[in-house]
Amino acid sequence: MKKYIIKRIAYMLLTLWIVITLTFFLMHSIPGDPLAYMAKTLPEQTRINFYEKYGLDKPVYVQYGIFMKNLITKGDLGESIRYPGRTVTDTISKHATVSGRLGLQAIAVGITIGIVLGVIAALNRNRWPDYLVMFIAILGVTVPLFIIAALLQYTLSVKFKLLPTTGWGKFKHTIIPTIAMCFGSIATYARYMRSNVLEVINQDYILTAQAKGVSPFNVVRKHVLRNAILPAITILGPQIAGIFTGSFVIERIFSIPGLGSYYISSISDRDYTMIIGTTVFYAALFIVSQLVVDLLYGVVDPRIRVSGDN
Amino acid sequence: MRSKKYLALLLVVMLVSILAVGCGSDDTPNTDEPATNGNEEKEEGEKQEGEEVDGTSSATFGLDEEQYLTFVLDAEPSTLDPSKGADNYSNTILLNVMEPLLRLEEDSDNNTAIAAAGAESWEANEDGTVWTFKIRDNTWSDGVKVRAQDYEYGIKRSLDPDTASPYSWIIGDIKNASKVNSGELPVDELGVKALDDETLEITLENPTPYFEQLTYNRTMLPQRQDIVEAQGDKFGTEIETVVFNGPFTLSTWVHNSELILTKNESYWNAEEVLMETVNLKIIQDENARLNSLTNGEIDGSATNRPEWREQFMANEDMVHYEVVNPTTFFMFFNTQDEVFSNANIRKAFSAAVDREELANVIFDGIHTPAYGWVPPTMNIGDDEYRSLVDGPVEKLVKEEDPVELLQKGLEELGMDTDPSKLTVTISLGGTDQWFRTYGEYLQQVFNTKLGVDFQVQQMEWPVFDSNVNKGDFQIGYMSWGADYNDPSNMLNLFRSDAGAIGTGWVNERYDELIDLAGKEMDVAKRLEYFREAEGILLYEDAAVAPIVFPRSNIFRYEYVHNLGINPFSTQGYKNAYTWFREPAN
Repeated sequence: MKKYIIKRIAYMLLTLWIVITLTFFLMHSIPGDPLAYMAKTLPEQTRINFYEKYGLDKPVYVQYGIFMKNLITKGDLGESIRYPGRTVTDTISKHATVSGRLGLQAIAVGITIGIVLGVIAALNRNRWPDYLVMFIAILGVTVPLFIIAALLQYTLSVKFKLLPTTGWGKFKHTIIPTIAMCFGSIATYARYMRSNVLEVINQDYILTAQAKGVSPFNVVRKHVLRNAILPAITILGPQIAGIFTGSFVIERIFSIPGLGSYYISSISDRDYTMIIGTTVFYAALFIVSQLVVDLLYGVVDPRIRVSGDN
Repeated sequence: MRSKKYLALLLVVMLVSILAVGCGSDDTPNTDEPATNGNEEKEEGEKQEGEEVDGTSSATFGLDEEQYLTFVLDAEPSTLDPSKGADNYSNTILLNVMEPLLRLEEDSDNNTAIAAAGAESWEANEDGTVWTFKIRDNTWSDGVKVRAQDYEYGIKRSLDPDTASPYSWIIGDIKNASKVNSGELPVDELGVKALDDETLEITLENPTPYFEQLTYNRTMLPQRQDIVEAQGDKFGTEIETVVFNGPFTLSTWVHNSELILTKNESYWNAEEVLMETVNLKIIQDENARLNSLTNGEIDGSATNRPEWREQFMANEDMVHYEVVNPTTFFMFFNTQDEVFSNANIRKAFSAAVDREELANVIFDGIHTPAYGWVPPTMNIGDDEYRSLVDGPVEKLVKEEDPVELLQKGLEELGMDTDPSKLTVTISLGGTDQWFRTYGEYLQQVFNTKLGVDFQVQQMEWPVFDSNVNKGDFQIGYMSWGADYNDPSNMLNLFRSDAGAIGTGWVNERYDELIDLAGKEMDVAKRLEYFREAEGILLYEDAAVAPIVFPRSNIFRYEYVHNLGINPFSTQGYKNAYTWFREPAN
């Protein structure tokens, strides 16, 4: 087990390095520079001073060397160019916690409701609860997030004035965004669970359990759910990574100071340090969550044993 | 066994998430329950937020006892370091929390005039090259006296090449500014000097008639050397790293979410500042912003979207202002390009555009057709420049036939005079639907009017920017907003060495006129120089084709008063107040 984890971590670092290197050279090869946001053509001297200050006058491979050195020796991702003085690490940690809180809320609600709905649908196959759940699921998958969000905002806060339209800081600010965000996970999990439960329910051991007189609730809880939930864990991985990176759409519509907007704006602003910083962050989270999911498999399903563990 | 473990795990996860939710609700101590807002809806008339109900208004004067305003910033301010950053959002904040030497104050007719601010008086020597400012008795928010040296340090720091200020070029008229900025001369050689604690002397390269207009730019704001040096690169990133000396102090700054300005009691003119609190929410999404306005969560905003405009115009509680912005939307030609090196061809493309129609079709009739380069609202002396000088494009459109011009131009170039064989490409620095529609419109205009094969290329803004810098385009489309209120700000851009708009256009007479106007203190003479220069730029040489001057539709609840709408004014929120925000029962 230990060996396996060490090996995985080595691979993770390799992957991370490849991602960083590719991103670094790719972002410097797209045209434009960090001064473009001013929408003005600046005098030569202003540009020169600015480039020198942020080390942009050096060849890209030198900049890469400096960046890697700082990252490895100091864990330093540099200073944002668009927001002078703010370090990238600071920005990420500050805004990722905001995204994280919202994301956790949404995923907890989404998974719970999704699993319950999925099981209900499967147990009532081809009856109205099934159709209803599948209708919700299809809606959740097909209707774009921004439409759901805008609709909720309009009805709940403009029309009925129950909740604030935008903002952050209090619990009431998180309600509409959470509902909007969990729609997608509800839909995904409900569909996954439904098909998995249907598969499991026809297995012999379920029949055995039923024959032994286990109550229907316990059959579902102990035998069906446990076996059906496995594939659902697979999709948990990327979702965990997504929790902290936030959603650009949701954050924009509800004006939430999460990390999501930085992924888009840093690219259009050509804020190089921020681009690479957010990329490293997301890549690392993604890779780690994959590992966590693989380990979780082992915990949940005794049939799966990670290699190296004899 | 295992299943129990698993269930326990699931339970723990859920408990934690419930806890996280629970903790959140603890943050809201009392009053603010969502239900409060819901109940209120039944009350007719004013729609307010829950907490505002308690504020009893002083019935006698109508002036609300609690003076607060809530507005929106479209994006996060980059930094509060005056020498760094150049975005409007941080400019807005800086003008409210810092005291520039002079301010552009707006009167009741929405005209602006220079007024004393950080300097209580100021004078120029005879030829306008040496300006002396008498610094007013004022205090920083940490109790330290504001000194002339603070202003001196601020300006010097902005021009120091190590600071790398993106705005440093704007004060290039100060003596030795460009040499200091390029590192040729030490910063001490800059023509800025505090003679004593109360006297600031600024020496200029040349007489600069518009110098007063530069004094409120962020690069000339006062800065405290001790604070800047103590904070280093962190200066301006958070509230704790800065000190204020303006009408307000910044009391809350949640990045990408909200800023709160609080009245600065130690401000020299604090007794005339009525406004106590200004909340600035950062909302990027236009629909969300306008929903908040409808809701009464914010007190005012601007929109040009027809559907919203109509809705707000019909709202009796709101006041509508229409303002022309000091900005020009324009097409510009690459004069180094084979085809567009010819003035007649450029004129043909400028003349072919029906600006009235374009303003109606593309801009929903909101923006005004532009026949000149200098936008309205820009003053020369005390008069609006545009009201004194006719737009040269008007003459071009009236007198010339675009088809003939094109023929003539193609002949001069020795090219095939059949326009259908000519392929011309416009580069647009935007990839959204609006730009697509715009491109298609222009395509149709030039196809039908000139008969040329007109191509549209859409690209991301930074790509466009870099292509233009490389001269890799034929026609470009851009907007340019003025930085200070003098026609020179817009016309200087086309001096052959300015390199601001990538036309590659060089005209000796134009350069000469700009230089003359730059040194001339007499308003009438300057006006004539500008008139001639603008004529060369738009009529004779047509290096650029102005399209429209954008307008803003501002909507505010009627209880907001004295806030000003002139896009140039730099008075900020200090003069504003609310009147009968609470309906008198």
